[in-house]
Amino acid sequence: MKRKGTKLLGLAMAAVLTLGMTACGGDGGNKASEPQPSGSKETQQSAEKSPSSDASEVTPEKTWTDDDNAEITILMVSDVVADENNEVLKTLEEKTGTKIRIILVSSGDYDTKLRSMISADSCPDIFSVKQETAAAYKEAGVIANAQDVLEAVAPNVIEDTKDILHEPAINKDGVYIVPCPQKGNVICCAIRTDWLKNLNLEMPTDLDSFAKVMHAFTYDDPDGNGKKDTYGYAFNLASLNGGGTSFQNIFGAYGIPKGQPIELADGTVTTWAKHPQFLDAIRYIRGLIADGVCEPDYVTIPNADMFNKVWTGVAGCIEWSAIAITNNWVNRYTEDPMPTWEYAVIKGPEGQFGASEKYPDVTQGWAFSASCKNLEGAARIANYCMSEEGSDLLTLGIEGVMYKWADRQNGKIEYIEPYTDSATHRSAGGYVYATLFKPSSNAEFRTLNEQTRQATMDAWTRGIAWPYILQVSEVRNESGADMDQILNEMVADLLTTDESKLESTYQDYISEWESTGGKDWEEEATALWKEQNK
Amino acid sequence: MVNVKNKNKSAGDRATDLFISLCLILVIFVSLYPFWHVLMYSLSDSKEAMSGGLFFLPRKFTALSWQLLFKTRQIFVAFGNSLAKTLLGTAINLAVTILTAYPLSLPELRGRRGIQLIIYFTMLFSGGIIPGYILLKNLRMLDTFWVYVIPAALSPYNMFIMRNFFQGIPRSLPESAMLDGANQMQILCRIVLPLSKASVATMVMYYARANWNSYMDGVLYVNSTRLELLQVYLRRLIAAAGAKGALSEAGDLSMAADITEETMKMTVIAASVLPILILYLFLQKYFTKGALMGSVKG
Repeated sequence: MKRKGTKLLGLAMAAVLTLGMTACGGDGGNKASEPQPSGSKETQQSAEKSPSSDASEVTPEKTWTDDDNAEITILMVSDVVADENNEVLKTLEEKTGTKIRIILVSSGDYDTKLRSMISADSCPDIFSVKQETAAAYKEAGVIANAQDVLEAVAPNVIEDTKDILHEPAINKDGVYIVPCPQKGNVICCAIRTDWLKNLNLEMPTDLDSFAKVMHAFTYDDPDGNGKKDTYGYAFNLASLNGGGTSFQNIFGAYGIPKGQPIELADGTVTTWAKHPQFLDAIRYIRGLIADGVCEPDYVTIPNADMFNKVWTGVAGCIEWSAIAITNNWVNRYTEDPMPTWEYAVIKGPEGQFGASEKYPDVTQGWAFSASCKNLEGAARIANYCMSEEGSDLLTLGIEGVMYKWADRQNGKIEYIEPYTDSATHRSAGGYVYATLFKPSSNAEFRTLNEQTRQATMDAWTRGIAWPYILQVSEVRNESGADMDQILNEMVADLLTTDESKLESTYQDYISEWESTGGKDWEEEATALWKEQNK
Repeated sequence: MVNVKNKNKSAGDRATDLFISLCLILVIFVSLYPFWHVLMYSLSDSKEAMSGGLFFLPRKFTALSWQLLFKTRQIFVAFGNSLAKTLLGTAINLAVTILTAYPLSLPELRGRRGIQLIIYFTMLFSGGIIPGYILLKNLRMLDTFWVYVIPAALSPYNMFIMRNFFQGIPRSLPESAMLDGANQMQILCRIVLPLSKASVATMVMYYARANWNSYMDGVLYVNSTRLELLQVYLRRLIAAAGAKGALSEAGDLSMAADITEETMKMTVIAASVLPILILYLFLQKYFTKGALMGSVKG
């Protein structure tokens, strides 16, 4: 009896495990297990990669795969999801003559997912990747050289990226990643014009008038409520850091591209903090802080609370992208009437102005898998997406069905019922895939309100050039985080330290930065920059 | 009776009771208030909530963020998947845990130590994400619902807790049943499990919570949005709220213009916590007893 019971238990355990194993009926994402279509013209990426491939299946001109029956898998970051087989995806398939499957992953999980898929031999056919990772993938034969196929079937990609396509170091001998040709947004200095009007002040044009406006915003009751409840300049420690937006235009007035490398007169490439006028800019900012016209809690205040003060009418000036201030934040402002903003151009003692130039990001891009069975189809997708029509489809949806142009020239659109509801719009695929091979003239930019669009374009003309080094820096890979940390601490320290110790504190931090890798990086960066400009 | 007891208490005892009661009330308040605050924030007008001063009641009550949360079909798909994972997953977890723990609690099982050692080894070392991914791919489990419930069918930690509990049941009970002709399965179902309600309820709680909160398997092993889990969906929603807000420059057209990222976060937290909180309320009477099981020997 006892044996019988033990057997029963064993059987039950086995049954549970067997159920689990046999219940798994999916294909596991294993495309290799799928029956191949009878007409499949699967070829390898190139004869070089697969010398044994059947030559009869490769036309003399084509050195890439073109099996239109093969599904093209795209892995991309998106924080919104669409229905599977949604209208936008179907239209994209129709326009490109392909079968597409898009896997959407949150940004934080993207790398893990991609690594897992590649390791398990389930590499997506199209995916975005950083240059340094792409270099390893190139070496391992994971990503394809898409130069030939792009030149043959993707004129939009070639045209829109003509200035940057071969800039990534990885693309010197082909096209392994397709970078996004869109320029970043140069940081603008936004000032509340309704407050200026209330105080009978003009838009500041130089550092002196800027300081006066900030003072008036803090002490002269710009909102007219009889209380001292406003201040001039909103910033916090996070935005003060090298890559942060704060004081970009103040440093710009001294000709310093905040947070970026600079080239000194002798050709040495070094950090922005070693600009000859760096301490002058710091002294000016210290003056603003000492006058009490800046965010009083800048050391501790988090981003969200800092923004709240802008949205709720506490702060009258912030340096940020125009797209946020006069476009995306329009519904965030709590005052009635809504605040009005304009963007100041602040000139320094030598007439310099602007903020760090934003170059198209060529350090990452879209890659095509070497195992893609329809590289030609993948290139067609890239070509379509990198057109205005493609960008409109992926961002706004299907024209005439989901939206219509009210004024195409000025970028005004109207959504059509039921797509006026954003959830329905996204379920149908609108906006979800907007970053896929995003062109320079993308729908997002073309549909900004006029003030924002103009401000963004104006800001581009004010970008302060800096040495944009495209090669991966080994010193920065090794010590970059520590070097940045030292500079961040230095800037914060310089704003609070005693005036008499300013110079020595600065020298101490710079020495520390140099010994932490800064000196080596200067040598490396200078050499790389010279090499790049040959 | 209670009154008689209270009457006999000295003033010092009463003061001590009062002090302890006040302390406990404070602990309850400190524990519950964050949940209440989150719920209240989610039910307040975003702009009003942003201005601060939110304490006990919502400011300018609105359920806009909840409406937005339940606006898309995807949330129902995700909710259904998480619910199915929690129900089926917990059932499988329980079955496997009990069917593993009970034999291992029997001293007469041959090779018991070896089996336990093998199971214990997995508590210390895991294969890692990529080997796990490759294994599941080869088992053709990727992109199927089963990937949610089969790989995590057994938690060694929970299994050892359960085994300890089974070992604590006096041997005379199953032996008496055996003398009456019961086999091991009958002993397990009719003697051991009815005596283990508290531990089973605790296991239900542990497993259900783990299944409900599970996130990475939804991200890694599933590509289809049809199989998306609630936690993955909610994470996206928060990120999307952030993307349209202050921290990103991505224009988000008209989506929920009146709802801030903070409000959306609060709503999402409330939505993800409430179901498991309700389950806890139902199981809490077993929980205290069950959580202590195996901690006292003899």
